[in-house]
Amino acid sequence: MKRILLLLFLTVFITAVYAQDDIGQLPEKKQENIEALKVAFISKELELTPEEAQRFWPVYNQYSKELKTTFLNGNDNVLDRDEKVLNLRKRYRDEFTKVLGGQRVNKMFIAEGRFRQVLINTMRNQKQRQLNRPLTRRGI
Amino acid sequence: MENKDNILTELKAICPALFAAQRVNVFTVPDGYFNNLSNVIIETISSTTYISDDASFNTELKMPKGYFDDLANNILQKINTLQSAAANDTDEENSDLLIELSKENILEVPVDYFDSVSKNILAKINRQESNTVTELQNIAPLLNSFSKENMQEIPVGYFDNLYHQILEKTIPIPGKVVKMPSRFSFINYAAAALVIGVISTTIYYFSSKPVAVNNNDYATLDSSIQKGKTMNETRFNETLNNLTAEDIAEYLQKNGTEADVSMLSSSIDENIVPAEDEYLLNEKTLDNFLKEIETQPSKN
Repeated sequence: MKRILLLLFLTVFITAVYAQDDIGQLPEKKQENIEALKVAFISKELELTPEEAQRFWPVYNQYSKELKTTFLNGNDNVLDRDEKVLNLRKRYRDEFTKVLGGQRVNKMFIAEGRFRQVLINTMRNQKQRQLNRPLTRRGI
Repeated sequence: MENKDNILTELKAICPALFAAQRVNVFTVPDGYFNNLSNVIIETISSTTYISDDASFNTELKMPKGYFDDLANNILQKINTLQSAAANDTDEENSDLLIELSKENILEVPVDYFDSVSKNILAKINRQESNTVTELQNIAPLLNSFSKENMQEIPVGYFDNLYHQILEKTIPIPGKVVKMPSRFSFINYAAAALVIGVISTTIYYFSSKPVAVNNNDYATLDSSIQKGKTMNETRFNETLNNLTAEDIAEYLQKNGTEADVSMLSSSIDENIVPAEDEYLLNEKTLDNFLKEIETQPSKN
């Protein structure tokens, strides 16, 4: 019985430590989480083999960094920025094709778009939930 | 001298005959007797040997030729002559006594004597029994008072049940029985289920992580990619649900294209914006939506 209790205690403790990742996070950490979600989403869509993953993720890592820089340095001209992003994607398409093949590269870019849609839907649901809350809870 | 006197008085007391004897050494040997003794002995021996070596002495021990050939016959002959002589002698000396004796075999037993001998003996003993009882009564009245029955008799079927009787008596008295709680109680099952649940959850969490084939390649990956790569569906949903609308808006503004940003910054209520799936189902969704917006102000 003592052993079982000890085991349970340890499990709860480990789980609690594990869960610390998501609770009480900083804003930067949250942004990073969204990036991680994107990666997870794409990973699920592509169904990579271990060998493919080994070659794919370094390329994606590079692509992700450049994409971020492009967004950050984007000037006010939104069309120019979108064009840069588009060119970047086209450039990396060849790299990704080497690893995934043409069809799956397309799937990857679609997945990126779908992930954005997932985010928008989530945000929409969040707002909906806020609206449905009782007035006192909303501080009105 | 004193000692001698004492010995003498003692001897007188013990054996007067010896005391009376003359105290003179009777065993005297001539002078130089032992000096020549050995020689005298040897001489004597040699003279005796001489006698034994004599031829006439030897011939006396010789037996006539063919002595053993006729020995048996001679012995038999002698015996026969002796017997006949003895027969004549007995006849002459003992005839009177022998004639008087009956010629019958006096040691004969009657016919079937031994068949009934045991019965006869028993009968005789039985006849004497009354005497035995009275005798016993006289000698040891206590013994006679005992029952004459066989005390060592055992009841019928005694040995049939003996084994069980012994077993019954030899079975040790059982100790105090302490009742243990039932082994298969609800708590046990609950605990087992809990442990299984915990283990399976742990395995689920850890097994979803792919094997790091080459650590050098993965080491350069951003933490976000590293994290996302190993994320399973449960954690995906958890993380997604933990995001606030503001977080997502911030992300989309930073990393989204103009289309996303415009959608976010739009004053249109997102709830009435058609979902992505609706565009796929119907090509005219956008037209319908725009028409709807145009007609909305008139409604209000």
